[in-house]
Amino acid sequence: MNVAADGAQEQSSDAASPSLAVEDLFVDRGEVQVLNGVTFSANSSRIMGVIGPNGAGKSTLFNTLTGLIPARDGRVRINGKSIGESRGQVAFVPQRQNINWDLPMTVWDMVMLGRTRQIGWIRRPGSADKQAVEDALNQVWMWDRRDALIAELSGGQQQRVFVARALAQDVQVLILDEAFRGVDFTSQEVMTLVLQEMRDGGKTILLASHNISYIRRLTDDCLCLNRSVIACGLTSEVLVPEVMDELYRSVDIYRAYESEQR
Amino acid sequence: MDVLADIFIAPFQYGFMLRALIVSVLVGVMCPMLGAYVVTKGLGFMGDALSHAVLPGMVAAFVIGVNPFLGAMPMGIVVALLSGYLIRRAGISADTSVGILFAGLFALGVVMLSFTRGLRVSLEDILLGQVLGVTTQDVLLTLVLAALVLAVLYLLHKELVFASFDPAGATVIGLPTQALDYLLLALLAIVIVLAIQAVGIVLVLAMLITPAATSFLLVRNFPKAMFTGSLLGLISAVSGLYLSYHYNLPSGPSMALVATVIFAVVVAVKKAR
Repeated sequence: MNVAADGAQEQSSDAASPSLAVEDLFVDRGEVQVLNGVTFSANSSRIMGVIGPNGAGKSTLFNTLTGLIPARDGRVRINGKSIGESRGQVAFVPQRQNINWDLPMTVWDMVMLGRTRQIGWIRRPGSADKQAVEDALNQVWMWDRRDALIAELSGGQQQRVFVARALAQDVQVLILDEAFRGVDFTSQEVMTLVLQEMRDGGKTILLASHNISYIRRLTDDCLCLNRSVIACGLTSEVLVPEVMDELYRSVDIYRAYESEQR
Repeated sequence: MDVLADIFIAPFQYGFMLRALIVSVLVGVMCPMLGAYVVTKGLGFMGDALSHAVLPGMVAAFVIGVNPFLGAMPMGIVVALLSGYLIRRAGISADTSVGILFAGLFALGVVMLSFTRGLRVSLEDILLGQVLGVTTQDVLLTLVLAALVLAVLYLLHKELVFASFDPAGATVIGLPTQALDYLLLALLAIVIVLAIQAVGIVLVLAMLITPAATSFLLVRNFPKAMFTGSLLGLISAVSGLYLSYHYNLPSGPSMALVATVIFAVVVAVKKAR
């Protein structure tokens, strides 16, 4: 795929060293090879969308980059460090079903979890941590709900709190897995603004979504993944019918994409 | 005043009642602290199974002639860690593997007990608790271990809560989530062994989860629920002890019943509103 090669070259020539570089990554889940030789890089001050059909390996890729599951082979550099060395240097907004909602947790406490590393073992939050939590909650427009239980919020508000936790973590790379699924309009707009602010502040953002029109609107670059990289490059150059055809071949979502084009 | 003194103070002219009171208070306070994690993480079955699985350790200690809790404690911790491993690794479901392991160990304990006819050990006391029989050594052990568990729960509160609420997020931020899980299981094993003195193997669950579950109906905040649960556990344990003294009832079941009645009342009041 020409688009892929061109996009990748253009991207790597943009910056001296990408903040996230993935080379020839192989990841298995049980007996199944989920990722086969994935190579791409993401730069600071960019938002990269990650798209692909269900089972394409988007969550597996994110779980590998965040150190949740091991890679069989390949090389990952995050700010020049390996996954193990860069532990805690990536903020992750996971899919919400992985949370233990039975444990009552206030919005404030939830965002404070993002400061765990800065606070350190055993110690209690200091004034800098409290300020970071307050700033993060203000940024996602959730300061007024700081004493609410997170389980009682709407899906969109919950997602904003997760984004606030990532903000409070204050790291270079942010990864969001289906962060916009089932999210109300206001939350979507708030999160869009926050992500754009983070990008303009020099962060590197990876965002998986099934919502192609959203990817088109928000992201600078796009990684098209289906077990391996189908294409990677500028969003405007990658989201073309030929690539989408290959990516979503015989998949229902592609029909949705087509109908959106009409 | 004399009536009140008869009810509340008179029992403690006996040394055994004073020792029982100290152990009951500690068990009543400690169980719901761990119970808050047990309830929210869905570890109730694990807690029940763990309390049954320490029986061989207790019996072995009887045979050697040492304090039964010196046998139950290491047994509980080893079994807790082993079951944590099974939950992570086993191909069969966690409930199944934990159930097989723990039922097997309990059976082993009962069989071992049948070989110890020379010893003055009552299966009923082990199953239902006999807090009136605790020794000074039991009291000291309980004090030390309760202090240890409290210290760990206090110092590692934010880490344990993070790992329980969002294990993946905790791992990503760099916490050793797996080690924290094992630590929580080890603390659970310690508290269960302490509670066996008061309420016995079969009724541990009543002290472990009932006050904690009641507290989550009353308050909606995890640390507050730990404290509210402890208060309810304390009330259950102490009033159960008084009931058993004044009405000549078995102490463990009395404590468990009080905890259950408090839970039922709270549920009823909440429904009525």
